[in-house]
Amino acid sequence: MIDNEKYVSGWSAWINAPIPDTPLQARIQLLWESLRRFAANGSALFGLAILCILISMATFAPLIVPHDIFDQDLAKQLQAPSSNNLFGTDELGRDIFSRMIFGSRITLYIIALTAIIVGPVGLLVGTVAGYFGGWVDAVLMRIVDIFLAFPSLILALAFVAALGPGIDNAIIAISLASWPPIARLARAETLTIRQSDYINAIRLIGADPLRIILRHVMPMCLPSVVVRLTLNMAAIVLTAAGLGFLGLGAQPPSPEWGSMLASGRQFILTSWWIAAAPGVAILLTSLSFNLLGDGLRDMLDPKHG
Amino acid sequence: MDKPLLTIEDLHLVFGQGQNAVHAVRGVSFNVGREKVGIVGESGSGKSQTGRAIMRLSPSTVNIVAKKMDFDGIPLLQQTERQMRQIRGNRISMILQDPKFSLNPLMRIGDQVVEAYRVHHKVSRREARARALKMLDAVRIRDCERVFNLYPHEVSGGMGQRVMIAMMLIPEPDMIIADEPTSALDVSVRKQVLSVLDELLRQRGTALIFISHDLNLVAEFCDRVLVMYAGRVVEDIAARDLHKAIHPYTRGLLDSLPKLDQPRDVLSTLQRDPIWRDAPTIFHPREVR
Repeated sequence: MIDNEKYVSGWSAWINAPIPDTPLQARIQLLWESLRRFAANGSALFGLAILCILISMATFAPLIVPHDIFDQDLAKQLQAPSSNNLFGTDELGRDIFSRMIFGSRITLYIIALTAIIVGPVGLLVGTVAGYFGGWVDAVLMRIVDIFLAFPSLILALAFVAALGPGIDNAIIAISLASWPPIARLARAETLTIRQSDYINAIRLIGADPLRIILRHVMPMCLPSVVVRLTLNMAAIVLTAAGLGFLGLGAQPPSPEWGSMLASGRQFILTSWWIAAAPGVAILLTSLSFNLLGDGLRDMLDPKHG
Repeated sequence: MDKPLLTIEDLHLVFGQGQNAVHAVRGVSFNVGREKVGIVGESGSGKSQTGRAIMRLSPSTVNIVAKKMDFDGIPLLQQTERQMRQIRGNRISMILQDPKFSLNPLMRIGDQVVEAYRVHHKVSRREARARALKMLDAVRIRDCERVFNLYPHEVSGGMGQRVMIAMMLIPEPDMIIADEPTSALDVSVRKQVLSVLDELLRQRGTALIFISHDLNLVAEFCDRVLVMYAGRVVEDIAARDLHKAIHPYTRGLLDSLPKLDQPRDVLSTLQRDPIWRDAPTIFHPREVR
């Protein structure tokens, strides 16, 4: 017991030492400080908590669900929430709770893939446009302007209509609709960075533009792009659900939240629970990404302190 | 003098176009052999822009015109951007003013020196690292293994500038342009950095163009001094003959410096003559002789 207390006071003295003894200690202290700032931000922590629940739900879905998600039982259709079916059953007698949990897998799949596509593409287009300037900048930014001229859902709708419905096409469509804001942000960052002396210095050494952009410009743009991407994820969730709702995203019988919502629409006046469960799930997910994004911005950007 | 490394004849730099054009450098000509040449002049005299024009790194709004701008037989103005990249760093390098801004804040010091070498030499990471450590040692950084892993904000200005020198010298260029390399440094550190630079240049036989506004420093450090005024070279003189300078501008600069052996109550102020701006006379004591 005494040993443990000693350890605790030793740790707090070490982490709060006004003058760190080693560079490692200094670095851990800085990390600790930003973690504390993040933890003090209640709403960001709330967002992170919901996200953690969502991810563990998706990971352990087969262990959690009480019923098979494709198991139809017309005798038990449209039943109100009960101890057997926590969120009730839908028009085909399937358990909504189980379907909602499996739906989180689809949502996370869409978010992850879109982020992986959108981040690098936006970063590359933005930094190239910002670094070279001139006609390269003009051409790339006009393309961005064309994409930005449409609301992202409408644009994604058009792409899905052209590519055909389905979850992978929905991901492509959402990516195509959401890279332009990232590109614009990366370009703005690049414009301030490319004037700096160290970019001049690396040009003096004779480095080619590719090396400068990849190794010297992109790392500087990364924090703001990450924040922007996290905030964008809320919009991605909504767009994915919107496409599912309109029947252009994941196809039935897959338990995508948007399409669950669409099937619940017919019964909304008699069986509210069919639409409520996926609706609340969409709301909480998109809210958590927004809150987390705000928290990340406060943590990564000292100017917002 | 043996064959000059860099020959510039009638270099003009014009910013902007039409009515708003500013003629920043107006007909500068000089040669640089394997020696240390200082360019002094006040702010706006065009000395830094001349340096940048040699590297072809002027802003895109600048119009560069010259009868001749040859480096080691290569006409610099006719080179493509790709060919220029082979020259930059590899043949001609430039040391910038403030190490606080000229080192990438997100990269470790060692990695930046390694990168400077690997841009021009295809060698393994390990060999480049060994060379970088040797170079850091050559610029008299003690404990270079430790410094190798530091970030630029973790070192002092003097050390940062020595890292910069290491970065610019590691590809072994033939000529270095130093644009006020010591202006951001403390007077005591200045000497140390300059002596490191001097020693390395001497070992490798590298030519130096030293751009500064400090006439005393240049006279002490360089072999030859070019004095620029309003975009023109008004005086080209060996550093040891500086006291024999003829041009009234140089004389004015010299007279306005305090001297320990000739104390004066009032230092003379520099009187500018508009004729200097317009008359393209270069006082060339060696030719007079």
